[in-house]
Amino acid sequence: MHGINLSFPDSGITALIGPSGSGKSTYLRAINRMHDLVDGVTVTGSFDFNGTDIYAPTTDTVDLRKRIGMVFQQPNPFPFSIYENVVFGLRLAGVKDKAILDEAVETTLRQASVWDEVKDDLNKSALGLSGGQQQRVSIARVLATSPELLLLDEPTSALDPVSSHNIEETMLKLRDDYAIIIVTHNMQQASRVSDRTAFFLDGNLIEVDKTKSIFLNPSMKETQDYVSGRFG
Amino acid sequence: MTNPNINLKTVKDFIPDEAPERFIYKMNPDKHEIALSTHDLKVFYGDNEALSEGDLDFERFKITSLIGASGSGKSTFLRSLNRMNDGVATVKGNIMYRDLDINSSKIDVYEMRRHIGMVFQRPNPFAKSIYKNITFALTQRGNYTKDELDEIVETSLKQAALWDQVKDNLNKSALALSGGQAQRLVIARALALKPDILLLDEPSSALDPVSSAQVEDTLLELKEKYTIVIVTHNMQQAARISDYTAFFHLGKVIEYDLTRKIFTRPKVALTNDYISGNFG
Amino acid sequence: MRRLFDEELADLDSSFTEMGMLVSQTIQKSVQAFVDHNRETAKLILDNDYRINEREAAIEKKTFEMIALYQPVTTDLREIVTILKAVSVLERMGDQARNIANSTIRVKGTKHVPEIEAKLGDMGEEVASMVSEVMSYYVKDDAIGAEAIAAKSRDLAKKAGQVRLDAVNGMKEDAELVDSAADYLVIAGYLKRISDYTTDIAEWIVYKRTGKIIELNPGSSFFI
Repeated sequence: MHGINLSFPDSGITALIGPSGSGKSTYLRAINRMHDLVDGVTVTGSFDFNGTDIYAPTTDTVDLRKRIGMVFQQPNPFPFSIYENVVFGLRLAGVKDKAILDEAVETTLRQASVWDEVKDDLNKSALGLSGGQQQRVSIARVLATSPELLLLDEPTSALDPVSSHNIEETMLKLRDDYAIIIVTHNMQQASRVSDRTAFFLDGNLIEVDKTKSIFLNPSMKETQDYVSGRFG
Repeated sequence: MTNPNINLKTVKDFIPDEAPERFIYKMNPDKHEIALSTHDLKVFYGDNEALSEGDLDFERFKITSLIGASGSGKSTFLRSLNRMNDGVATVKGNIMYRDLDINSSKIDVYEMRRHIGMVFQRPNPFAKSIYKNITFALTQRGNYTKDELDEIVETSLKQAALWDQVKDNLNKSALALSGGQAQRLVIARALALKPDILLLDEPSSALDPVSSAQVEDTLLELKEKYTIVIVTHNMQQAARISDYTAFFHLGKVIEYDLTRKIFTRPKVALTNDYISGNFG
Repeated sequence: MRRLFDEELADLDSSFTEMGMLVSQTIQKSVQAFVDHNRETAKLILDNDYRINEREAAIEKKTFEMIALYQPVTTDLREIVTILKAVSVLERMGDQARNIANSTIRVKGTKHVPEIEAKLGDMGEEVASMVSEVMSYYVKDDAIGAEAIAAKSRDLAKKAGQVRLDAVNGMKEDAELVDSAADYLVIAGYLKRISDYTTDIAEWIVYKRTGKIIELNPGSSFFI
């Protein structure tokens, strides 16, 4: 990737779009230092996150990832109950008070629009849920640690349209309270849910603007071609 | 001059209504060449009926999309069409292909699958060279000269719109291909068997929009010579490339018609809601 | 389940129906001003015409956005297309109201025919109510009601024909009536045109409900 400068407001949804290899996922993963453990990847420059330099040597990545939650393409529940999945991060942080945990489970499952579907089965294994439900439980798990920023890496590409719709609905519900950055291959999804869209190509940021502008009057020809489905 | 008063009965006729119990879509054989038709197909997992559809005809040299949510039965239906459900589920009813009921126990399933090929969601090339990926199935079941194989490799790769990109690397591993290239290689592999009908199960859902567009382009070229049935979660894709669309819901075919009609004027309210993204 | 699209569509719907009501009122006022020879009201109508045009532009812009961002199909698409087509019909109705106001301002005749003016006044009321009526069919998604607008439109065409006859006869009898009578002719034509437009909107309402494009009053597009 080549010298990307981007900033994100403290609420609202920003979609990162672009073909495979454009650098959008690389960029997303760099935000919560997912590349630290990958050999041969070097990140230069800085990420200022609410006053913290993400790449400063003093930054604690465990703490960082509490503040910056990430949801992946494949729903990845742990092989235990729905309840334990949601409170996993809180237990790691040493929270033991049952009342606080109960409260967190209900609040975050509601935020993730899955409470009504699972409230009677909180002690059942999360692996028994449908893909869409698992993905929403994953979102609840991330929300439980009260992050300031949510990163979603193609959260619906493994889901059918109905489950994707549920996830989109969840994102819309969260967008007033969280800054959300989503990588998606689905341009319709970007246009439906995001407030701002950034278009990446060949490791460069081509354009970032309000989603309306990107889909109606983009400034760059590359963006125009990509969002219209004219690929070379 | 047309009648200045519209016939109000027809206005009512066009207002969407409930799904029929059993959907029947027969084509006029004088006007349409029928590649495949199903009659009273039912699929059971144990005692559970997973799918029950009416009578459907599939037109030759056309692309038919099967759409619907997970669990709607569309993939189950597709897999039944070349007996991929054998040993997994019980499939009742008839699947007529060239006057043969290919759902009958007398059918040589391997031979049948040479006529009705399948491409899966995840590109799954073998860990062999590009060349061997295409010739593998052929050499297992027949004797071909090197020249014949070369010819088949070139033709299939050209049909799958991949030849120009790989012709100098035929002996390199197929695993090094990009997602879109790998999916087109898998299509070429299916084409090498010279099938009539190509079944595709979400062939581009794991691909980015550029690779996905390449696969769509390939399918549009292939329909000159092949009948294509594709399962897709991407409704825009169904609208872009298919001639016919069948909408599945909870194990039933709710509506099947020309894609043009399904996406502008579906007859059933449920279809309308689904394709509008209104999942209530 | 909620779609962001539905919220925006509801907003679009209400701006469209509001614009319909505004146009209906403007038509009614413009005819009343003509009948009352009230140049002040007529000027006000001309001054405010930009409001109708601005609404049209804003609604069009919104429909383009919604098509680009949501790629609507079937009933959603038809609703947006209906608004996009009907909003320009509303704008053209507004232009006719402006024409009537212009006639009121430059009216030269000093001698009038109160009977014809009363007829024009009635026609103005009628046309304005047809506009609100067709908007209510839009809101209720009532294709069958919309079809009934066509009959009213034919009825209004007959009345316009009668005004034309009366005006021509008046001119024949009294040369001093020529200025006013020429205006009567033109105003009757404007009103007939507006009523034809309500039929155009009715056709789009039928399309929205059924997906069928139909012609409700074929051959009715003559001036008067």
